[in-house]
Amino acid sequence: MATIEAQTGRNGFLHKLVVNVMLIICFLFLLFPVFWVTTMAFKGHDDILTWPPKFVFKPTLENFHNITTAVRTATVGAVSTDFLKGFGNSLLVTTSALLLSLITGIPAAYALGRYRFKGKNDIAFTFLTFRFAPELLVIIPIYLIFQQIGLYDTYIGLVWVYQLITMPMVIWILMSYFEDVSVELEQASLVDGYPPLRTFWRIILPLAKPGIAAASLLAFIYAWNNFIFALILGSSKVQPVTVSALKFITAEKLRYGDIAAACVLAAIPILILAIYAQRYMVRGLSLGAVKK
Amino acid sequence: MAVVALRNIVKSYDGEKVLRDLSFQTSDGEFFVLLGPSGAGKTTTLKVIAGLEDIDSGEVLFDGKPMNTVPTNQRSVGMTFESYALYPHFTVFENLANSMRAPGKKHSESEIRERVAKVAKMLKIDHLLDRHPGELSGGQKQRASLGRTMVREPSIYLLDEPLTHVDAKIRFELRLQFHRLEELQQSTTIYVTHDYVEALSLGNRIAILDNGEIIQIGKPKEIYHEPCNLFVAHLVGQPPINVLDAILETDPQGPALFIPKGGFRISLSPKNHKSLEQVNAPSELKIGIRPRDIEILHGPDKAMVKARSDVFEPFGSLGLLSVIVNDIYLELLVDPDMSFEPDNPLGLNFREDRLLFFDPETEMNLLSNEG
Repeated sequence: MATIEAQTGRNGFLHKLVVNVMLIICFLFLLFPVFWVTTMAFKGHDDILTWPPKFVFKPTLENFHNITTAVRTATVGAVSTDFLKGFGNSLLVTTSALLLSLITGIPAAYALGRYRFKGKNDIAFTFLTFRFAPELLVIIPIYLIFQQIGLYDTYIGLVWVYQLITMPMVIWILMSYFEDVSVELEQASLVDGYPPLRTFWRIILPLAKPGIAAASLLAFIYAWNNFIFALILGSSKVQPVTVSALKFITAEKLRYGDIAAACVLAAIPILILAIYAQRYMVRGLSLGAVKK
Repeated sequence: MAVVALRNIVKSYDGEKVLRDLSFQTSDGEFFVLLGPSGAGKTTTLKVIAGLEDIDSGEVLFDGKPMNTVPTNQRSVGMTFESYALYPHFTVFENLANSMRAPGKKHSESEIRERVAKVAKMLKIDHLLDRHPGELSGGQKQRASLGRTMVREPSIYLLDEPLTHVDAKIRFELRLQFHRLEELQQSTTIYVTHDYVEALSLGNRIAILDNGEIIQIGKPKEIYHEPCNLFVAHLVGQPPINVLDAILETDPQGPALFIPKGGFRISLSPKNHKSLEQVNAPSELKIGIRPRDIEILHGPDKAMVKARSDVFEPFGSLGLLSVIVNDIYLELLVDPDMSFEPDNPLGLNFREDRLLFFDPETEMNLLSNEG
């Protein structure tokens, strides 16, 4: 007995210490860039560039001010700030893409989850493969096609291309979700006197709400963060915020402060959504993934 | 109330026949039981009647009207599911009220509340109306499920194994409840179960289903005393009927059945002998005797058959005794207050008038009227 106590006493404590230290190191490693960019957003230009790097500094809002005031001058060195416009574009394109995916994807997921028909697994898998395709691989053909059919630099074009990102998410998460909703609940509703469409609306959709929330949030995040499609398939008219941030790399210098401020602002919607939806997401994903 | 008729229903699933030429007809207001083992097609039959499953061929008729093209939500059926299928996001009240709020139904809120309250009170779930199904026990869910069907006031009740997943103790109570609910007793009810006790207790008539086919339809007493084949005889009764290979002997001492594996003879009454002759019974056949129709005599000398006791299980109200006769095991129902040591010599008397005779190949009851 004494030996065991001694063992857990000594090694137990050491064990815990090592684990905690490693966790802290991982924590720092992962979050430090976020921390650094956030502090950069609040630093004056000189503070950013000094070496050794300053952790204690006088915070300033000049970067945020720079990027949010629409200054359009032709003089060299001034930045034509499309940042707010980019932010608006991001909201518009991402939300539209998501809505379109939901309206078409929910019935599709239901059909794939509920009915048995030829080629069902192939179709379902095909939707998943949209996510596999590296964007760089497909971007040039898409660019050429868009130029031909006149969808270059249009909102419709972007929303359509974004379906490659949002649709697979919606369909795959909701497909297993619908599979898990018991058929007998639908049958009970039919027996109660409700036709199939009302049954879908009243019984099935509410039960799939967590799945819809999870799928929507994931889809939103991925669409919001998209860079390649946004960069190549549109110019300044429709560019979302991911591309707008590039504008801060000017001929004169790298406006680190402005870029950092842009990053912080662009990340805010996602952070809010992610925190809000966290509980939905875990529940939605695990309910969808686990086969009973 | 309605007369439900199924005519020549054939249904396949994935190429396999699930229902084979199924036909039966209930009478108006009948409590009709579908009894059979798992996988027999009982639930499928119910769903065909409700319109929830398609059929390959055949007709479903309510009061003589073909219902094949009528969608489920327009049929006046109420169904309880084995899994209860209560809507998890509705309260018990909303679950019960659901059918009254369907499109085309114009009930005022007060009417709805009144009817739901009445049914809930009858089923003793009126204190649970604000709860969600997730907060109910198995027995409460079963009653809520039944309540939902009753509020609908259908012409035909379809009950799918309502007591199967309920605690054994509550099952007894709930079975009585089925007897006492007038709605069920007066409406045409089709009740599915694999438990023969429920079937014998509740059914006006029982249809035995196996492998998608109806084996026999009859009143409970007929099913029990005149099973049309070995399968039915075996299905109904616990412990199951004892089945023995026998050889029909007509020798000068009198006709008898010789049991080779047991090494004993049972004298055959003239009545049975004559009946067997009339149907040209084969000389080798199978006989069945139910556990309660074998008597114990503690003095083995006077008995028909000499046996040795094996396992005795007294269960309070009944006792199960297993005995060995040469190579055969027999199950008997005895007085639970008796006591038996293993391997005691015992005498057995078979009640000859309760014997059942089966063809060894077809396993059909040789003396049954059904043929």
